[in-house]
Amino acid sequence: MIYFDHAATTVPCRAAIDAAVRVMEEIPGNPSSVHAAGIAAAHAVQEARVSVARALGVRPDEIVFTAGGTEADNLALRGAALALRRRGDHIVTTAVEHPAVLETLAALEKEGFSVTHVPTGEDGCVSADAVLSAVTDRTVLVSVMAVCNETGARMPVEEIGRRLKARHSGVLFHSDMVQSFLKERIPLTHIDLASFSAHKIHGLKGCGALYVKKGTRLVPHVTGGGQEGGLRSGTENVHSLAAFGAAAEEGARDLAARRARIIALRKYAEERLSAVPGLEPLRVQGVPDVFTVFLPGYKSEVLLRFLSARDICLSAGSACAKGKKSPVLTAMGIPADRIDSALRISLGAENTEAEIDLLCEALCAAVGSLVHTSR
Amino acid sequence: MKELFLLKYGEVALKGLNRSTFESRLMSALRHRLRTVGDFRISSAQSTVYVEPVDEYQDNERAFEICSRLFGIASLSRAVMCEKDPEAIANLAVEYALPILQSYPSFKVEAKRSDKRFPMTSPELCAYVGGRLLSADPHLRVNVREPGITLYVEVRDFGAYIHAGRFEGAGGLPPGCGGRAALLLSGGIDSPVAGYMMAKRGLSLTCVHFASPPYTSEQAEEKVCELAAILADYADIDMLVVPFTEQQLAIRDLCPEDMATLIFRRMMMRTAERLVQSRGCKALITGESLGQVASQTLDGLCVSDSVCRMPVFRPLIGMDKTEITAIARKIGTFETSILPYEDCCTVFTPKHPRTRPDEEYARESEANLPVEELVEKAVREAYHVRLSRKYLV
Repeated sequence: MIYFDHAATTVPCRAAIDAAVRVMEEIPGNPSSVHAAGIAAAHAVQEARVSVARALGVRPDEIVFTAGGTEADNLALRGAALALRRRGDHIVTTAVEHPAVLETLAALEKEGFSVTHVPTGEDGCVSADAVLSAVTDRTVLVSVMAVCNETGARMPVEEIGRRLKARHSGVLFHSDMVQSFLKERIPLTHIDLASFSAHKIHGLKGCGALYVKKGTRLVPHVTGGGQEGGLRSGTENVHSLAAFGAAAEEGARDLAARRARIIALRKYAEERLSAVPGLEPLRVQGVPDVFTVFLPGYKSEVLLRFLSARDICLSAGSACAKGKKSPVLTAMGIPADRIDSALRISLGAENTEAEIDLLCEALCAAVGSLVHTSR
Repeated sequence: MKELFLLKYGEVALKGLNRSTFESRLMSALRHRLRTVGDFRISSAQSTVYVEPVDEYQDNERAFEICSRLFGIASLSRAVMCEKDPEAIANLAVEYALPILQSYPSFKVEAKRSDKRFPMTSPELCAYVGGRLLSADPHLRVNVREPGITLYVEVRDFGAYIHAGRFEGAGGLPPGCGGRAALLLSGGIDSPVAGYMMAKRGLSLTCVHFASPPYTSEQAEEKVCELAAILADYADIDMLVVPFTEQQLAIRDLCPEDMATLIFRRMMMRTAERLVQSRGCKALITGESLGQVASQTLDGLCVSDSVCRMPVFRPLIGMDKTEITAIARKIGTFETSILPYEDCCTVFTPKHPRTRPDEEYARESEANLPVEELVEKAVREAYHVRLSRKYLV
């Protein structure tokens, strides 16, 4: 299998699998139990917390484990909005957020909040100016993703955080960092809340984390036994968390090498893809890992099946939004016939030049043999 | 207290010398279907089939659903059984039926005895069981003329049976007693209903699905297999998939655009006929309804029928979409049919299809198409799909 869909999910690394297996085989306890088995499990969770915190350069007690990036986004947005309800009812975000953010904010709109969606420029990025000028004295929360999951566009979250905190210190700043984690080094100094997912960094699915800056108050929405400092009740997913910790540790160690590798692969891919007749890259200011290309006249769905038959995996836009017209590309003002033919290529350090060659060959074959499917 | 099902024959009971053939078809179809649920003792006597779960922990609800979907059964009921003794019958009636009767305003007891050696006559047995029920709960009311519910007590060969209420069976004729036909199965609402209707008259179905990868998706093919798996409750099912991309591309390139859909249909009919005649099929079944879409006009149907020799059954020909949808809901295919996977990519649908074609024009339109070669290739590339558990929803 040739896998170019690392933004959808990654293959678990050996260290993550070994850590999970070790927990399942040797540490069967519930971390809340008082006996030795329970204490061992609590230690495993704490070790994972330290590993994730170190990878982010924050304190371990600022990490709240969740069941994934979506849940982390929900806890951050709902938790902050409800905690600050008395101070105001306005939220600022971008037009290109992941559905985990957009849909959660849409639900909050039904509960009486008003939401401003800041549009992106043609380069797929929002400007810090645009975000900051949307902030009013009723604003309680700003949420801007670090890297767009569909286009790879990089948002100026550091600058937004710094300037926001200088002018409106009471407004909380959340960033969905699922796509930037262990790819970009973004300091969390001026960020109050940040969401992460384990399976995008070679960990397991169903597991993630929310960074909650010390002193930030949130209203929990999963209540119960009071685990995770009362912010996310429910018995901890110990084996997945152990895998998360192991993956974060390895990812932090190899970050520079992986990044250099991916930059080289991206450069190679761009050169080779330019030989595919009719192919147009989407130009954005972004990370090297994720990029979108268009093959006008061919429907992405049909292209994906054509490639899948040749054992090549990639996505049309976000893997989470199959069948729907990408709201992100629509928000960027891309014409409908381009969006219909969009392919998202997301690279991993394990990819090879030979695989990119095969992708280009397959795309050339598609152009040669497929019938134009959108008219 | 063990529950069992009593199934009564429908039309089978009216058959003359062929009756035993029909009966054995019915029994083997029932045995075959119930085997997927668990272990059941199945016997028949006096136009009634007795289905008795062997193990208490079996899925009786699913088993009853299977029985209620079995063609050849006119009515069925869930019953309990005891020895043929008035005292035992009354005790069981109180234990089993009292909670049921209590939720109705009134009841009556109806007794039947085919075993005439039983010590009481039917009216005596009614009165006795009714009296015992009334003394168990004085709030019960008897109404012989218009009872809220009727409790049946049947004294038969092997024991006495008590049941309250009768459910309508699927009707029709036992699966497979009418032979085998090929159902052209798309992913839509109509074709599964057409298959159901012909299965009702005793046909086994060989489903034929035309797929055009990569223009149609694997999910679309899986959806069709799911539909076939639902139909397997009603008929003996066989499933074939025919890759048809090359044919569609050839039609697109070599035929006039306004005839594309009709020629596509002609190619499907030719291919299906060729494919299934060696598999024991003697007819084709389609889900067409007159005038529903451009290719289903009278002229359109004439043009697509003229290419095959087998009779083409169209049980939905005179039905409205709402009537078809109602049946799809009843038989459980509707929810799957409306899943949004394209079954035939829009790329191949002409913008302005011809609604009043004639045979001559159809032949002219096919003049450049290597018909024989394409049919031959499609038949060769068709493959069989086993309807395993993964398709059961």
